[in-house]
Amino acid sequence: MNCDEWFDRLYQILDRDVDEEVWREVEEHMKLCRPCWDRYEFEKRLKEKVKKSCCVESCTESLRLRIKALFEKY
Amino acid sequence: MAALMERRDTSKELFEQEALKYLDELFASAMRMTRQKEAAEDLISEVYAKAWKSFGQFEPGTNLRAWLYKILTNTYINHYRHKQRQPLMVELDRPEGPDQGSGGDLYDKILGASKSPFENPDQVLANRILDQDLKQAIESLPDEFRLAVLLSDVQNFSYQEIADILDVPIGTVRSRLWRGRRLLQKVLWKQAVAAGIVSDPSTTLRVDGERSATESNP
Repeated sequence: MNCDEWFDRLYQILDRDVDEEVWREVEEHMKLCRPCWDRYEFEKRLKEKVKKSCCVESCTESLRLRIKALFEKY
Repeated sequence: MAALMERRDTSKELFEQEALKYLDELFASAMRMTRQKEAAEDLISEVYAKAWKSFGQFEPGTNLRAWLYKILTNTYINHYRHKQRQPLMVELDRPEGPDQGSGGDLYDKILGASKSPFENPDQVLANRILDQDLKQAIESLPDEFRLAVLLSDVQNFSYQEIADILDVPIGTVRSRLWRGRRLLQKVLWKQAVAAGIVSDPSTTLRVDGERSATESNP
Protein backbone atom coordinates (compact mmCIF):
# COMPACT_ATOMS: atom_id res chain seq x y z
CA MET A 1 0.00 0.00 0.00
CA ASN A 2 1.44 3.40 -0.95
CA CYS A 3 0.51 6.82 0.48
CA ASP A 4 -2.04 7.61 -2.24
CA GLU A 5 -3.84 4.31 -1.78
CA TRP A 6 -3.74 4.89 1.95
CA PHE A 7 -5.13 8.41 1.63
CA ASP A 8 -7.97 7.29 -0.65
CA ARG A 9 -9.16 5.10 2.21
CA LEU A 10 -8.41 7.55 5.01
CA TYR A 11 -11.94 7.81 6.40
CA GLN A 12 -12.74 4.15 5.90
CA ILE A 13 -9.60 3.40 7.88
CA LEU A 14 -10.59 5.89 10.56
CA ASP A 15 -14.06 4.34 10.81
CA ARG A 16 -12.72 0.76 10.51
CA ASP A 17 -14.81 0.20 7.41
CA VAL A 18 -12.15 -2.09 5.88
CA ASP A 19 -11.73 -5.85 6.03
CA GLU A 20 -8.98 -7.51 8.04
CA GLU A 21 -6.63 -8.02 5.14
CA VAL A 22 -6.76 -4.35 4.17
CA TRP A 23 -6.43 -3.35 7.81
CA ARG A 24 -3.18 -5.33 8.05
CA GLU A 25 -1.82 -3.49 5.01
CA VAL A 26 -2.92 -0.21 6.55
CA GLU A 27 -1.11 -0.94 9.80
CA GLU A 28 1.98 -2.06 7.93
CA HIS A 29 1.97 1.18 5.93
CA MET A 30 1.55 3.35 9.00
CA LYS A 31 4.40 1.61 10.80
CA LEU A 32 6.72 2.64 8.00
CA CYS A 33 5.29 6.02 7.04
CA ARG A 34 5.46 8.74 9.68
CA PRO A 35 3.54 11.42 7.72
CA CYS A 36 0.57 9.06 7.19
CA TRP A 37 0.71 8.04 10.84
CA ASP A 38 0.70 11.70 11.95
CA ARG A 39 -2.15 12.41 9.64
CA TYR A 40 -4.14 9.47 10.97
CA GLU A 41 -3.59 10.61 14.56
CA PHE A 42 -4.76 14.11 13.68
CA GLU A 43 -7.94 12.85 12.02
CA LYS A 44 -8.62 10.53 14.96
CA ARG A 45 -8.26 13.39 17.45
CA LEU A 46 -10.48 15.63 15.35
CA LYS A 47 -13.14 12.92 15.26
CA GLU A 48 -12.94 12.53 19.06
CA LYS A 49 -13.18 16.28 19.51
CA VAL A 50 -16.24 16.47 17.27
CA LYS A 51 -17.91 13.86 19.44
CA LYS A 52 -16.99 15.60 22.67
CA SER A 53 -18.17 19.01 21.50
CA CYS A 54 -21.53 17.71 20.27
CA CYS A 55 -22.68 15.72 23.29
CA VAL A 56 -22.98 18.61 25.69
CA GLU A 57 -26.68 19.19 26.15
CA SER A 58 -28.96 17.07 28.29
CA CYS A 59 -32.69 17.07 27.87
CA THR A 60 -34.53 19.26 30.39
CA GLU A 61 -36.71 17.80 33.10
CA SER A 62 -39.77 19.46 31.57
CA LEU A 63 -39.18 17.74 28.23
CA ARG A 64 -38.71 14.41 30.00
CA LEU A 65 -42.06 14.86 31.74
CA ARG A 66 -43.69 15.90 28.46
CA ILE A 67 -42.46 12.71 26.82
CA LYS A 68 -43.55 10.51 29.70
CA ALA A 69 -46.99 12.14 29.54
CA LEU A 70 -47.11 11.34 25.81
CA PHE A 71 -46.40 7.73 26.66
CA GLU A 72 -49.48 7.59 28.88
CA LYS A 73 -51.58 8.76 25.93
CA TYR A 74 -50.67 5.91 23.61
CA MET B 1 -57.26 -11.89 28.55
CA ALA B 2 -56.17 -10.11 31.72
CA ALA B 3 -52.87 -12.01 31.65
CA LEU B 4 -52.34 -11.02 28.03
CA MET B 5 -53.02 -7.37 28.80
CA GLU B 6 -50.62 -7.51 31.68
CA ARG B 7 -47.88 -9.05 29.55
CA ARG B 8 -48.39 -6.41 26.92
CA ASP B 9 -48.19 -3.67 29.55
CA THR B 10 -44.98 -5.08 30.93
CA SER B 11 -43.29 -5.22 27.54
CA LYS B 12 -44.55 -1.74 26.76
CA GLU B 13 -43.13 -0.43 30.00
CA LEU B 14 -39.82 -2.11 29.30
CA PHE B 15 -39.87 -0.50 25.89
CA GLU B 16 -40.49 2.89 27.49
CA GLN B 17 -37.58 2.40 29.91
CA GLU B 18 -35.23 1.34 27.12
CA ALA B 19 -36.27 4.14 24.77
CA LEU B 20 -35.91 6.80 27.47
CA LYS B 21 -32.25 5.84 27.96
CA TYR B 22 -31.50 7.52 24.63
CA LEU B 23 -33.36 10.74 25.40
CA ASP B 24 -30.29 12.86 26.24
CA GLU B 25 -28.25 11.85 23.22
CA LEU B 26 -31.23 12.19 20.88
CA PHE B 27 -31.85 15.64 22.28
CA ALA B 28 -28.21 16.67 21.72
CA SER B 29 -28.47 15.39 18.13
CA ALA B 30 -31.70 17.32 17.65
CA MET B 31 -29.91 20.46 18.87
CA ARG B 32 -27.24 20.01 16.17
CA MET B 33 -29.96 19.51 13.57
CA THR B 34 -32.35 22.34 14.44
CA ARG B 35 -29.80 24.62 16.16
CA GLN B 36 -32.54 25.89 18.49
CA LYS B 37 -33.63 24.59 21.86
CA GLU B 38 -37.35 25.01 21.34
CA ALA B 39 -37.31 23.40 17.89
CA ALA B 40 -35.17 20.55 19.24
CA GLU B 41 -37.66 19.93 22.06
CA ASP B 42 -40.59 19.87 19.64
CA LEU B 43 -38.69 17.54 17.33
CA ILE B 44 -37.88 15.14 20.17
CA SER B 45 -41.49 15.12 21.41
CA GLU B 46 -42.61 14.23 17.93
CA VAL B 47 -40.01 11.47 17.70
CA TYR B 48 -41.14 9.88 20.96
CA ALA B 49 -44.82 10.27 20.09
CA LYS B 50 -44.09 8.32 16.89
CA ALA B 51 -42.05 5.76 18.78
CA TRP B 52 -44.84 5.20 21.34
CA LYS B 53 -47.43 4.92 18.55
CA SER B 54 -45.41 2.50 16.49
CA PHE B 55 -44.30 0.38 19.43
CA GLY B 56 -46.11 -2.57 17.81
CA GLN B 57 -43.88 -2.30 14.72
CA PHE B 58 -40.68 -2.49 16.67
CA GLU B 59 -39.18 -5.97 16.59
CA PRO B 60 -37.72 -6.91 19.97
CA GLY B 61 -34.08 -7.86 19.72
CA THR B 62 -33.38 -5.44 16.87
CA ASN B 63 -31.47 -2.21 17.37
CA LEU B 64 -33.77 0.17 19.29
CA ARG B 65 -31.22 2.97 19.25
CA ALA B 66 -30.83 2.87 15.45
CA TRP B 67 -34.62 2.66 15.11
CA LEU B 68 -35.05 5.85 17.19
CA TYR B 69 -32.40 7.63 15.10
CA LYS B 70 -34.21 6.62 11.95
CA ILE B 71 -37.40 8.20 13.30
CA LEU B 72 -35.40 11.28 14.33
CA THR B 73 -33.75 11.84 10.95
CA ASN B 74 -36.94 11.12 9.00
CA THR B 75 -38.97 13.50 11.14
CA TYR B 76 -36.31 16.16 10.86
CA ILE B 77 -35.95 15.83 7.09
CA ASN B 78 -39.71 15.75 6.44
CA HIS B 79 -41.01 18.34 8.85
CA TYR B 80 -38.30 20.54 10.22
CA ARG B 81 -35.60 21.40 7.83
CA HIS B 82 -37.90 23.39 5.52
CA LYS B 83 -38.88 25.59 8.43
CA GLN B 84 -35.29 26.17 9.40
CA ARG B 85 -33.07 28.93 8.19
CA GLN B 86 -30.64 27.91 5.49
CA PRO B 87 -27.21 26.55 6.41
CA LEU B 88 -25.04 29.30 7.80
CA MET B 89 -22.33 29.06 5.18
CA VAL B 90 -24.11 28.28 1.94
CA GLU B 91 -21.52 30.27 0.06
CA LEU B 92 -18.95 27.53 0.61
CA ASP B 93 -18.07 25.59 -2.50
CA ARG B 94 -19.21 22.03 -2.69
CA PRO B 95 -16.24 20.02 -1.52
CA GLU B 96 -14.36 17.79 -3.90
CA GLY B 97 -14.56 14.00 -4.04
CA PRO B 98 -12.02 11.44 -2.82
CA ASP B 99 -10.28 11.30 -6.17
CA GLN B 100 -9.09 14.88 -6.03
CA GLY B 101 -6.06 14.69 -3.82
CA SER B 102 -5.38 16.04 -0.38
CA GLY B 103 -5.12 19.78 -1.10
CA GLY B 104 -7.27 21.90 1.15
CA ASP B 105 -7.23 19.72 4.25
CA LEU B 106 -7.00 21.32 7.65
CA TYR B 107 -3.96 19.22 8.55
CA ASP B 108 -1.94 20.25 5.49
CA LYS B 109 -3.02 23.85 5.83
CA ILE B 110 -2.00 24.09 9.46
CA LEU B 111 1.33 22.44 8.63
CA GLY B 112 1.90 25.15 6.06
CA ALA B 113 0.70 28.02 8.21
CA SER B 114 1.62 27.44 11.82
CA LYS B 115 5.39 27.67 11.49
CA SER B 116 5.70 30.98 13.28
CA PRO B 117 3.82 30.08 16.47
CA PHE B 118 5.84 26.79 16.56
CA GLU B 119 2.73 24.70 16.81
CA ASN B 120 2.00 21.46 15.00
CA PRO B 121 -1.51 20.56 13.79
CA ASP B 122 -2.21 18.39 16.85
CA GLN B 123 -1.36 21.26 19.19
CA VAL B 124 -3.49 23.69 17.23
CA LEU B 125 -6.36 21.24 17.35
CA ALA B 126 -5.94 20.52 21.07
CA ASN B 127 -5.29 24.04 22.30
CA ARG B 128 -6.70 26.52 19.84
CA ILE B 129 -9.83 25.01 18.34
CA LEU B 130 -12.50 25.15 21.02
CA ASP B 131 -15.53 22.91 21.41
CA GLN B 132 -17.69 25.92 20.64
CA ASP B 133 -15.89 26.41 17.29
CA LEU B 134 -16.48 22.79 16.37
CA LYS B 135 -20.14 22.91 17.29
CA GLN B 136 -20.59 26.02 15.21
CA ALA B 137 -18.72 24.48 12.26
CA ILE B 138 -20.85 21.34 12.35
CA GLU B 139 -24.05 23.32 12.54
CA SER B 140 -23.00 25.23 9.44
CA LEU B 141 -22.81 22.10 7.25
CA PRO B 142 -25.59 21.40 4.77
CA ASP B 143 -28.04 18.77 6.09
CA GLU B 144 -26.95 15.79 4.01
CA PHE B 145 -23.35 16.08 5.24
CA ARG B 146 -24.20 17.14 8.77
CA LEU B 147 -26.42 14.12 9.37
CA ALA B 148 -23.77 11.71 8.08
CA VAL B 149 -21.03 13.28 10.22
CA LEU B 150 -23.25 13.35 13.33
CA LEU B 151 -24.30 9.72 12.94
CA SER B 152 -20.72 8.57 12.42
CA ASP B 153 -18.48 10.81 14.53
CA VAL B 154 -20.86 11.63 17.35
CA GLN B 155 -23.12 8.58 17.55
CA ASN B 156 -20.60 5.96 16.37
CA PHE B 157 -22.98 4.16 14.02
CA SER B 158 -21.39 1.86 11.44
CA TYR B 159 -21.62 2.69 7.74
CA GLN B 160 -24.27 0.00 7.30
CA GLU B 161 -26.35 1.38 10.17
CA ILE B 162 -26.08 4.91 8.76
CA ALA B 163 -27.15 3.60 5.35
CA ASP B 164 -30.22 2.02 6.99
CA ILE B 165 -31.03 5.11 9.05
CA LEU B 166 -30.75 7.51 6.09
CA ASP B 167 -32.15 5.01 3.61
CA VAL B 168 -29.29 5.46 1.13
CA PRO B 169 -26.72 3.02 -0.31
CA ILE B 170 -23.54 2.48 1.68
CA GLY B 171 -21.48 4.14 -1.08
CA THR B 172 -23.49 7.32 -0.53
CA VAL B 173 -22.66 7.17 3.18
CA ARG B 174 -18.95 6.94 2.35
CA SER B 175 -19.04 9.85 -0.05
CA ARG B 176 -21.15 12.05 2.26
CA LEU B 177 -18.76 11.39 5.12
CA TRP B 178 -15.77 12.16 2.94
CA ARG B 179 -17.25 15.37 1.65
CA GLY B 180 -18.80 16.33 4.99
CA ARG B 181 -15.51 16.00 6.85
CA ARG B 182 -13.61 17.88 4.17
CA LEU B 183 -16.19 20.64 4.31
CA LEU B 184 -16.02 20.71 8.10
CA GLN B 185 -12.24 21.14 7.90
CA LYS B 186 -12.67 23.95 5.42
CA VAL B 187 -15.02 25.75 7.82
CA LEU B 188 -12.65 25.18 10.76
CA TRP B 189 -9.79 26.60 8.70
CA LYS B 190 -11.79 29.71 7.83
CA GLN B 191 -12.71 30.15 11.50
CA ALA B 192 -9.07 29.74 12.55
CA VAL B 193 -7.89 32.32 10.02
CA ALA B 194 -10.65 34.74 11.07
CA ALA B 195 -9.72 34.28 14.74
CA GLY B 196 -6.04 34.92 13.98
CA ILE B 197 -4.99 31.45 15.17
CA VAL B 198 -3.18 30.82 11.90
CA SER B 199 -2.30 33.06 9.01
CA ASP B 200 -3.45 32.00 5.56
CA PRO B 201 -0.34 31.59 3.36
CA SER B 202 -2.38 32.13 0.20
CA THR B 203 -3.20 35.69 1.32
CA THR B 204 0.20 36.49 2.78
CA LEU B 205 3.29 37.36 0.77
CA ARG B 206 5.96 34.88 1.70
CA VAL B 207 9.65 34.91 0.96
CA ASP B 208 9.69 31.15 0.47
CA GLY B 209 6.59 31.36 -1.70
CA GLU B 210 6.90 27.87 -3.17
CA ARG B 211 4.12 26.25 -1.19
CA SER B 212 1.66 29.12 -1.47
CA ALA B 213 2.34 29.37 -5.18
CA THR B 214 1.47 25.70 -5.70
CA GLU B 215 -1.59 26.09 -3.52
CA SER B 216 -2.94 29.03 -5.41
CA ASN B 217 -2.42 27.30 -8.78
CA PRO B 218 -4.00 23.88 -8.39
